[in-house]
Parts: sequence; structure tokens; C-alpha cells
Amino acid sequence: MDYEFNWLVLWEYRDLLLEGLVLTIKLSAISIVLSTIVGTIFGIMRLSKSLIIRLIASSYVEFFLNTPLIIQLFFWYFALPMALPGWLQSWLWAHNYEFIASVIGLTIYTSTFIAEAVRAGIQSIDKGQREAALASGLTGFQTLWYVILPQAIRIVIPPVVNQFLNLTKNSSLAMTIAVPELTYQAQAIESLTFRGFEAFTAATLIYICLTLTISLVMGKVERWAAKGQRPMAA
Amino acid sequence: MIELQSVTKKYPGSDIPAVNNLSFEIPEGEICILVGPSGCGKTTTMKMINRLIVPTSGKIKVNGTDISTVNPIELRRNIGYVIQEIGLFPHMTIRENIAIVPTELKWPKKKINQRVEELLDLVGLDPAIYADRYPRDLSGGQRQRVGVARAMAADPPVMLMDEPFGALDPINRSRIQNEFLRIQEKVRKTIVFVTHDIDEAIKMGDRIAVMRQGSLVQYASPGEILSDPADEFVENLVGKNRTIKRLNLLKVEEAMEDILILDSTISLADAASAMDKAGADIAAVKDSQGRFQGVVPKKRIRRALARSWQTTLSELADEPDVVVDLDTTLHDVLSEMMQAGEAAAFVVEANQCRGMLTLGSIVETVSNNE
Repeated sequence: MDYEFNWLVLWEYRDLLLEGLVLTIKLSAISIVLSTIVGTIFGIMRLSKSLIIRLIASSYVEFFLNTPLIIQLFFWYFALPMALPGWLQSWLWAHNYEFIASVIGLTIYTSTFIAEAVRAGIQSIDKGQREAALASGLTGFQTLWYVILPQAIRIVIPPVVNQFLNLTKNSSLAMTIAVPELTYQAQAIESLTFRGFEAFTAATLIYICLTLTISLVMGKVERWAAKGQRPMAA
Repeated sequence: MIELQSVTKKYPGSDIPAVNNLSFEIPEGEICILVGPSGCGKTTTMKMINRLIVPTSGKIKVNGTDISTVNPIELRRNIGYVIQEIGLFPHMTIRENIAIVPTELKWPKKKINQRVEELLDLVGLDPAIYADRYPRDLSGGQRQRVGVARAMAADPPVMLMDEPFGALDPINRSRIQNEFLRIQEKVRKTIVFVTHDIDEAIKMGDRIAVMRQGSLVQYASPGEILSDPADEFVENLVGKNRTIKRLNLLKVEEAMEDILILDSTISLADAASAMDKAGADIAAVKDSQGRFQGVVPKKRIRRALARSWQTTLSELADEPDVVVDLDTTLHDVLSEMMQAGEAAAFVVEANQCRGMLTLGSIVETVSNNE
């Protein structure tokens, strides 16, 4: 093997890596929060008594679940602005639209998986719980908020954490619409130095640290959510 | 008071009504048992009273008000609801579970805590130990008590109970039934109680509504149901051994015999002659403060005298195996006696021996009541 490692380039271009990392964290964190909110709302809507609300929710989920993320990103970034009035277009381009488009793409795509997890979680709660809550004079919303969701959270957390991890890894696709996140910067270092091995090894290690941190934090959240209930099977 | 007037419930997609033209009244402060095989409409009937299910036609009045004119949320806060143990919220402590309705009613925190503790005391759970535990830390019987406490939290005049003790083992069930009857003596709620267990119905009910295929077959007191079943269906439901079922209706008080009570300070010879004079084979012993110490058979005293043991009456007295209350049913007394392998039970209340029961006295009481 003729390749001579030169790990020093990483130190030389540390600013690029750091900027990429910060942007990846920003992009993932915002999308995680938004996709959790949107996903929960659509998950609950899929169980609505109203057929119309159920239809809206399941079309949303089926549509975005079954198209590739990269197509969705391209759509939000390249296609959508064409349909907008000129002043809005220029406002978007002036306001970092590549970042906004990738947040929209990641949020919508991930929210479909979260919606499915939330729906399954709610459905797994015994019917007697709902009945007992309603019979105690709770309103439909109070029943959901105080009785059903707190119990569903425990069941929903593990699959949702998987989606958080997927989202963090999927955020690397944002480089295709010119968001200078971690993968984009690794690629940049490679083209500046021809040190592809070092650059992508660094990116890989950083992604692993990120996902491990998320798993660790969410493990704590999961233990908190399980209060009063049987511990999860290990 | 609860009134049902020609209440019918048809579920969509079904030709046969689940509840068909049902009319009856439940007087204030009484326990009405809805009993019948599964699918007879008893649970549907109960759930229509708090509007968990809306009747297809007919009218239901609670304390004179047509419930279809009341906001369901408001209505349900005035109707306690007990279901099998699954109804407790697992993610809330016992205190939070009981406080659900008072919290919605925005009672001050202090009043809520006071009420929670009062209720836990009432159902026989020490608030200091149990109030801040989670349901999974409690046994089935304890959870069921919490369920009853929760339903009573805002002191509703009416309570609905859906097979509330169904998930308990027989011994725990009979214990909690007795406690519940004792609580009901004090609180006098109007109660609708659903069960498929005819023994439970006979024991707990002031009135029993026997249902079949959505219709009322008989509505009468437990005694009438036993002695005068309306038709073959009720007769079969009650079963062949109606005499034994009657044991659920009779209380210790009715079958109790007097017992000779001896002072623990008297000599063994005096004790023996007192028992001879009374013709008693067994006597209760009380201490100088009048507290019950135990029972002693005459044979044991005779043996001690014959061998001139240096002993006292209190030392010879034994704690009896079967101790019951005045309002225990004869059914429960008999099963306890059989479990302990004893032919006698002793009635002790407030540390005083009130009397005793033997197999003979129970048989006699039942046959006199036929």
C-alpha cells in the first residue's frame, strides 16, 4: 500500500470540520423537535373519529413515507420556489433557503415514521384506561393528555429514538442541496487536500459520537417515562 | 334515585337490540345488582347511566334530572365509576389517581390531600404507606380498594361498579365485599353493580335485576329471587342449591348462640363447676378489663385439674382459629370453618366475645329460614 496517512490535515482544516459539525447539530436538533411535534399530531389524527381527518393523516403518512428523501429534498429546494411569487422567492434565497428546505424535508420525512410509532403506541394502551378517564369526567383532550399519552410515551420512545438516529444520519443528504454540514465539509477537505481517507474517517467518527450521545440521553428519558410501570425487558 | 324509562339500545349493524325497552327504578341509597350471562346487556345498561353509551330511545333520570339534558362531563363528575383493576392509571401515584376528579373540580390542594387520606383510611389502607406508591406496588385487592376510593373521591351520590371484584381470589373477594358493605352502611350511595356471579349478587344486593337478551326478567330482593324465581331462566341462574345460596343472605347475628364467659381470675375448679352448671363444653375467657383472651374447652380444664397442674385459666385459653363479625354472612363463616377444619366459630367484636356458631346452629338457622 503506497498511501501515506497524514492525519495532520484534519488539524489544519479543523475549522471546516467544526463548522460542519455545528451545522449538522443545528439541522438535526431543529428537525428532531419539529418532526416529533408534527409526527405526534398526525399519529393522533390517524386515530380520529372523523373519517376526513383520518384520510388526511393517512394520505400524508403514505405519501411522504413512500418517496425517497433525496427526491423530497430536491422538491422543496428546486421545485417549490418555482411555484412561489417572485418576492417570496427572493426572500427565501436571501434567508438561507437551503437550510430551511432541508429542515422541511427532514421534518416531513421523519414525521411519517414518528406518526406510525405514536399511533401504534396509543393503540397499545388498554381500552379500559380511556373508559376510566372518560367516566371520571375528563374531556377527550384531557384523557389523551393526562392518561393516554403519558403511558404511550414509554412504548413510543424506542422506535422514535431510532428515527432520531436515522434523521441525524439522513441530515448528510442536505449536502446535495448545498448545506455546508459535516459531510459537505469532509468532501471539501478531500477536494482541497486529496486526503479522502482521513477526511471521511473523521466524519464517520463524529457521526458515531453524535448518535451515541442521542442514544444515551434518550435512554435516560426512557427511564423517566417508565415511572410507575414495569421496567422494559432488557 | 335512578329511573330508566323504556330504554332501548341498538348498536349499528345489529338487528337485535342490546338493551330492549328496559324500565325500572333504583331507590336512593340502595345497591341494585345487574346480573345475567355475558351479552345480556347489563354492562350496556350501566354505561348508559353515565352516558358512556347513548341510548337509542327512552329516558334515564338521575335524581329527577333527565341525563340527556346534562353535559356529560358534568354528569360523570357526579357519578363514581369502578371497574376492574385495570382502571387505575399506572403512571400516577395512588394519591394522584384518587385526586383525579377533585383536581378537575379545582379543589384547593390541602382539601384534596385531606380527602385522599380520609378515603384511604375508609378503605383500610394506611395513607402514610400507600398514598405515594404506584399501582403496581400494590396487590390486586389493595388496587381494588383504591379503585373504590377513587370513585368516591368527590362524594358522588351515585356509583357505578362494573364487576369491581371480579379479578380477585375468593378469599380476598369476600373480604373486600364485606368491607364494601360496611362502607355502604355509612355512606348510603345509590349503587348500580354489574356482576355475572349470582352469589355476589345475592350477598351484595338490596335488589337484583336479572337480565337476559337485553330484557329484564325479574327485579326483586335477593330473598324473593331465591324463594320465588320468576321463570326457569332465573331458576337455572340461581342454581339447584338454593338453600346453600341462602347462606349468603343470613348473617352471623341470626345463627349465633350464647357463650359462657369466664373471668380469667377465678380458679380452675370454679371454672369447671360454672361450665357444668351451664352445660357448656367450651367457654370464653376475659381478662380483668373485660377483654377477650381466648376460648377454653371443659376437657382441658378437667385434665389440668386431674393432674393438678399449676396453671391459670388464661394460660389454658387459646386464640380460636375462626373469628368472625356479627355481620359476616353464614356462607363466609362456613367456608372459613371448613378451611380451618374447625366445627365452631367465635364472634368477637371490639375485643368482646359476643357468642359462637356451630355447624348445628348454622343448619338450624338455614332450615328455619326456608
